[in-house]
Amino acid sequence: MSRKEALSNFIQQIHARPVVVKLNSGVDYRGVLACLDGYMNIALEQTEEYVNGQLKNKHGDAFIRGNNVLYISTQKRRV
Amino acid sequence: MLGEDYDNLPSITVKEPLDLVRLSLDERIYVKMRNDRELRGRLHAYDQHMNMVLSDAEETITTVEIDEETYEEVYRSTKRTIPMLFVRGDGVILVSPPMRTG
Amino acid sequence: MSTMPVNSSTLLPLELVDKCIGSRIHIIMKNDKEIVGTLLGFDDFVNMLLEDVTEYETTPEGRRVTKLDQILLNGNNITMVIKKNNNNTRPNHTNNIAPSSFELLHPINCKKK
Repeated sequence: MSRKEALSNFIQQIHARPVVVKLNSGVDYRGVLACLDGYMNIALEQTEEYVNGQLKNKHGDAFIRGNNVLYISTQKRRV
Repeated sequence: MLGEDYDNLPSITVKEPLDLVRLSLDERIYVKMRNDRELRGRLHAYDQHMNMVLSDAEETITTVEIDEETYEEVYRSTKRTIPMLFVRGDGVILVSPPMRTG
Repeated sequence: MSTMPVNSSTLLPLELVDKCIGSRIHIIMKNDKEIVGTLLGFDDFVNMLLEDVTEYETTPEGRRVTKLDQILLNGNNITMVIKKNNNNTRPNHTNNIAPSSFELLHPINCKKK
């Protein structure tokens, strides 16, 4: 099942990389991805909270409950 | 003694997201809830749903009102303290342990 | 009592999504949000891995467009998936499905009168 491999590869790749996590509410969290589980629960480091594009809050570490997550986004690794 | 400090830094590996919450047991944490509510309190217990028990909790409720004359958005926050609180996990958005400094 | 007729042309919904891998797709989300991107993969929950993504959302301030490189999209809020009929991606091998069946589902093409 190659279609599933693409996802699991991605999940393995994004560890320790900067990501943007967008919630259904529209709030963005930017930080370094510490880990991720099957519910899309996320542990982020150096977390910054953006509401309407404006920085509203900073957290050292943050646990985000997966049901709120719309997507996890990365920048492509530039070689 | 120096070794102890080092042990506390990288050896605490977060293998799954819930480990981050486990490491916050008995610490004062920040919880962002749905409906513009925030909680700060000492974490006594949690489970896989993120149901939690907090003590000495402070709840902050933020409401937005539109000023009728200037049409400006006015943010108003109401606070209350609760000695012991059970939090149902489905309302939880984010849990953050206190900043680890030093 | 009878089960669904076993017909070689019967296609499971997820097989339809599978045929979109490598193609540009248009995703309609529950909350008036739309996402366009190239589908790289998905799982049983239809969580999707997408590349070269554009997100369209309607906010009180108006329409907002966000460009993203790669996203893992939570399948929870997906309502519809539409394959874009483009020619610049890898050749598609959708022999069983006429491309027009996707166009019919395309809401952009269904302008309200």
